[in-house]
Amino acid sequence: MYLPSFQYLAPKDTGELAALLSDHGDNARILSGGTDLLVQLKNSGADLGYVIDISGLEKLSEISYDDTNGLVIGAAAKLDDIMALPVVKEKYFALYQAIETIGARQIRTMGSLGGNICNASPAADTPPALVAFNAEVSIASDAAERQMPLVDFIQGNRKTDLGKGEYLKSITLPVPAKNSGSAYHHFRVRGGMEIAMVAAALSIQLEADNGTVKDAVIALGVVGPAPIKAEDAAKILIGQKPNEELLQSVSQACADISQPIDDFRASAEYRKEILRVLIEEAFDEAYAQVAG
Amino acid sequence: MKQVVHLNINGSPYDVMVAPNATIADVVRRQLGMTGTKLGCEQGDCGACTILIDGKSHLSCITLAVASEGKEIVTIEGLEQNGKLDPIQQAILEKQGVQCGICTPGVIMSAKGLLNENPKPNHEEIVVGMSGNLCRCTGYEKIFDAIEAVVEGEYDDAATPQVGAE
Repeated sequence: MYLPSFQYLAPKDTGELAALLSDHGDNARILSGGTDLLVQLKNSGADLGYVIDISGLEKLSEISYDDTNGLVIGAAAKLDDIMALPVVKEKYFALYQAIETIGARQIRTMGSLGGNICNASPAADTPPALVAFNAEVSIASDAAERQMPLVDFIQGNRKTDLGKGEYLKSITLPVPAKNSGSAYHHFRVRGGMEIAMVAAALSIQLEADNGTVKDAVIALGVVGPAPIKAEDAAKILIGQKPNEELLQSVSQACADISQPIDDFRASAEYRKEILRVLIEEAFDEAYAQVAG
Repeated sequence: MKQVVHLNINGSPYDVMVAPNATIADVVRRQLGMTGTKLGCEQGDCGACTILIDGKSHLSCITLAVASEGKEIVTIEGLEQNGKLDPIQQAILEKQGVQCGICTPGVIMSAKGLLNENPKPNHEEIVVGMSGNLCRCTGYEKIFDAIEAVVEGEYDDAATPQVGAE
């Protein structure tokens, strides 16, 4: 199984990257970890003009955290490097859980967060978790730089808002509020090297004194062409003290707006049922992180 | 268009003429004759082609040779030192972690990478850490036994080359 032919370009800095994309953007693919791109090229067999390798660009691999800007992850940062940062496990637990489930050790060593996003697979693990943290993406080109919410950046199956000459530069996760917790739950049958059939991520903030929900963000994964931010379902939680009945109405509201596919792995009806279970489980886990 | 790349494989420098679309697996097997690295699925699923790059487990079937200049590459051929097998090789051999053998080099290189990252994994961490390597003979238990024996120090007197480990 061979790769189709292409020319290989390895820019030395982001300026050169932007210039190359401006020149060759419509006949080039950006290579980061290769765990999606090279597999797709092998399967397509179609020759391509250029592969532009960003994995050597240190500026795109940086990860930083501070209490003002939050967690800023360069698009080419490796999944295992992100997972290894204590602050990720401590403050962005749902993202840690999402990365932990991707492929296997080799894939996490090679793959990057930006790649998982830009590949825009409906079954990708990290996008729902990132949406639950209200992540923003920075998109750059040789002319300008712009920001937008990740949930708007991923537009559908294998479709993002990246325009000609643009590249994903970084992903920013705001500092989580005090008394907040998060969780990512997914459903699959095997343990490793498998993609999720249904996924749910949420982050919640509780009032300090009485355990009522102050704020909540719920994101649904694999049940539509792109991650779904379940805003109406999240509103049901706000100002309430959680109980079984309340959670059932939240999970029902999530199932109602989900659009899962119906295939040999699971029926749409089953996926909706599983989604409800995942939402309730994820809520319980996130709640326990704050309320103990 | 082919170009010369300078690769460091098993501690030796190689100048190889490669096309941009050549993977490390293609180069070591076809151009350098090191056929210890196996190709299974050839699309990053099975782990048979696992090698170490800078001490970490990578899939050589989806790693470009042109992108690997300046990195320390170790294949299964690089583990034996002075005629002595690496402890993981010795353990896989003695604990009968080999059935048909096609997954074995990848399993060993993956275990090597796992122990570089976490020298004392527990059983669960071994199982999860090896989940990227498929053995279609399903001989997983013997493989786990072998890795556990290495972790427990049973093979400490075997050669302990730390090739590629920082």
